[in-house]
Amino acid sequence: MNRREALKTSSLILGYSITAGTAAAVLSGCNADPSLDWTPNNFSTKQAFMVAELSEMIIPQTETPGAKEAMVDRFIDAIIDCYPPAERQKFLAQLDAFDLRIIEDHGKTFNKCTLKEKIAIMDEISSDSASEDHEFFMKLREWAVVGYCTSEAGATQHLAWDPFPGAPFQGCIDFSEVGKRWAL
Amino acid sequence: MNFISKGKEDVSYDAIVVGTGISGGWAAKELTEKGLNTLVLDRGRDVKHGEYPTANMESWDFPRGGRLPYEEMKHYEKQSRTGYTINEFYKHWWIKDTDQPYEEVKPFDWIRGYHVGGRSLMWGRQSYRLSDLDFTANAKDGVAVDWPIRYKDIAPWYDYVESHIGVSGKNEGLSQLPDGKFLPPMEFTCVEQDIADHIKNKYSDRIMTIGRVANLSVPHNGRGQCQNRNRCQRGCPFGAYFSSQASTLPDAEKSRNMTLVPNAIVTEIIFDDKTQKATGVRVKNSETLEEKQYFARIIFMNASCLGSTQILMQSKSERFPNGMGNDSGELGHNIMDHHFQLGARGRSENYRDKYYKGRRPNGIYVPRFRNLDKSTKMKDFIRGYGYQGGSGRPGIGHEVAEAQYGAKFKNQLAVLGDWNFNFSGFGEILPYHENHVKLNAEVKDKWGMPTLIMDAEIKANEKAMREDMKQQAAEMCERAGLKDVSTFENRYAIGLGIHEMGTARMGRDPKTSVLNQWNQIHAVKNVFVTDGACMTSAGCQNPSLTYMALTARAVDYAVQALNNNEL
Repeated sequence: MNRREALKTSSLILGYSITAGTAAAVLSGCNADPSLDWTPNNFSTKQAFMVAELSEMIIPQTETPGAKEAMVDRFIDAIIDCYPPAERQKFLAQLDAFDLRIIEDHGKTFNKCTLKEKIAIMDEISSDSASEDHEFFMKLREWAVVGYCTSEAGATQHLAWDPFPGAPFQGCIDFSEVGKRWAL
Repeated sequence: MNFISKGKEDVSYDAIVVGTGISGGWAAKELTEKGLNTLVLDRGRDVKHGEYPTANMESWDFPRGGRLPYEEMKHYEKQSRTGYTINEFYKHWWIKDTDQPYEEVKPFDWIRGYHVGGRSLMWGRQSYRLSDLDFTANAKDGVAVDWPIRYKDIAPWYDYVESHIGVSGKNEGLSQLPDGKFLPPMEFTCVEQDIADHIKNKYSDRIMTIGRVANLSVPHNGRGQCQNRNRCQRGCPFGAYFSSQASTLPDAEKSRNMTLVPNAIVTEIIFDDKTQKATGVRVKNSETLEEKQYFARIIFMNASCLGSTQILMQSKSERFPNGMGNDSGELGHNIMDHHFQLGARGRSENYRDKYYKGRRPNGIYVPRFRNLDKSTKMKDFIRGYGYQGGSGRPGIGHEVAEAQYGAKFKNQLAVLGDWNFNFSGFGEILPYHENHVKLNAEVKDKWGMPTLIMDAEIKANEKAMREDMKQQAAEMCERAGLKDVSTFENRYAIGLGIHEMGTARMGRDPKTSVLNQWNQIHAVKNVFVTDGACMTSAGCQNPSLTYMALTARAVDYAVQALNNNEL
C-alpha cells in the first residue's frame, strides 16, 4: 500500500478528518524515507521504521542490546501473520492513526520528534488508558517483549541463557549463581 | 530386468506388526529378538533416530518465535486444541486435519502423529503402573466387564519394560501405585520439597512424589543421559527419553529379522474362512496409492487405539460382517481417555533467594487417594484421580511493574517474581458402551479411506470427580501455605489427554469383549491387539507403560503358542 492509499484507508477506517497540513506532512514523508535493510511482509517502510523506534523506546539499548539490535521490528512484522486478517488490518490501521495524530500534534513524524517529545508521547500512550493509542501501545509492547525475549540478543544477553544445562537438574540453588531470569 | 512377478513367499513373514509407536516398537523388538522374521509397517514416512530437524533450533531461528501463521493453522484446527502441539518446533510430527478429517457428534479431540515412531516421539513420558485396585475395579463396581488379568500377570512385564526403557522415579511403597525398577529420581525444587513436606505432615491419606518419567537420569542401555533441555517433543539427539527410534526399533534392526516398510497404510486384515485365521494384511502405499498384500502367521495390531480399531472395522468378511472380531458388538465402543485441564494454583513467598538450574522435563505426582478402601470412599463418585504439576518461577510481570517502558521496564524483564505452583488433576473415565466411534463411508481422507465419527462424552461420575479434583487441589495449596490460591478449569473433551483407550477391550467373555487375556481376538487367535484399544478400564495413570508391558507379555505368549503349533 502506498502512502496516499494508506492515508485514505486509515481516515476511512478511523473516521479521522485530516487537515491539509497533516496530509502534506504525511505525503512529504514518502520522499524522506530511508530504505530498509530487510523486506517487511506486512509493514510499509514507514511503518517498519516507526515500529522499530517505538520498540526501542520500550526496550532501549542499555548495557545489553535494545529492541532494534534484537530485530524486534522484524518479529512484530512476522507475528502479525498469526492473527486473523481483520486483526492484522486493525493493528496496521492503529499504527497509521497513531502516525497521523503525532503529525497533527507535532507537525512531524514520531521518529523525527525529539527525545523529550517522544517521552511525552510514550508517557501518555503507556499510562493513560483513556488515550486513543493505549490499546495499540499495549499490543505493540506485548509483541515487543515476546520478540525481544525470544531473540538471540535478548535471550542470550539480557536474560540468563543455558542451551545445554546438563545433568542433573538442580532444583534449589542460590539465585546469585544465576543472577537473572532464565530465558526459557 | 526381471518381469517375473513375486511369489507369495516374497511377501510372507512369520509376523506382521502394524504400527511403530510405543507398543508397535515393542512388538517389533520382542518378535525379532525371539527370531521371527517380522514385517513392520507404518502408515507414515520413515524417521530414523537423530532425524529431528528442530532439535537444536532456537526460537530466533523462526520468524515468529515458533508460532505458525494464521493461514497455516487452519490445517490444524483439531491438532492445535491442546495448545502445545502445533508450532514450528513440533508441527511436522502431527497430521493435518485437512488431510484426515473426522466428524464430532460431540466434541472430541483426536491428536495424531503418523510417521515411524508415532507418538512415542512426542509422548509426555510419565510412566505409572496400574495396580490391582485398577484391575479389579470393574468387577468390584459392577461396571462394564472384568479385566481378564490381575497385577501379578503383568508385574514381571512392568519390571522387564522399565528395566529396558529407563524410568526415573522414586519407590514409595504404595499399593495403588506399585513400585518399579527406577533410575535415580529427579530433584524437587525448594518449593516442591516444602509442599511435599507439608502434605506429609498434614495428610495421612496422600503423598507428593517426583514424577516417574521415561527420561534417563543416568546413562542407560547405551543411551545418553538427560541434558535437562526439556525439548523432548522435538526428538532427542541423545536418545535420553524412550522412543521407538531411540530404543526398540534399533534393537529390532540389530536382530536382522526386521523388514521395516514405511508409507504403508493397512486397509484391512485378510481373513481365511477355512482356517478361521488371519492370513495377512492389505496395504496401500501412501505415496503411490499402489496396493499390495503381505502374509504372516501372526499379526500384531499397534496402529494406536482408534487406528487399530478402524482397521478391524474395515476388515469385513462373511464371518465378520461388522468388522473383524466384533462378535460382541463392542468394537469401537467404551472409548476412554483421562479427563484433566483443572486443578488449583498458588504463589509462594518463600525461597526468594533460591532458583534452579536446568529445565527438568518432569513434574510432581500425587498418587490417587480417593476410593482406595472404606475409609477413603467417596459418596458421589467411584474411582479416582492423581495430580501432576510443579513449580515455576516467572518474571515479575508487567502489571506490577513500576515502569511502563524504557530502561527500567527493560530491566524488569530479567527480574524474578515469586515462585508459583500448581496441581493439575488427571482422572479416570469409566468405559461407557454408548461412548463410541464408527466408520464414516461418506467422508474419505486424502488416501480415499473411510473416516471416523466420534460420539463420546464424560458423564456424571467424571463431573462429580472434577469438583473434588479442584477442591482438593485448592485445599492442598492452602494447607501447604501458598498465597493467592485459586482453582482453574479449562475446556476438556474426550481425547485431549491423548490417551485414547478401550475400543477393542480385553475380557473373559467373547460375548462382551473383543480380546482375551493374551490380547488375542477371541475368534481370530492369530491377531493380537496390544495398543490402547485393549484397555478394559482406564485407571487414572498415564497408560503407555501398560501398553508396553502388555505387548511384551503378548509376544512372549504368541511365540510360545507358535512354537507349540497352537496358532
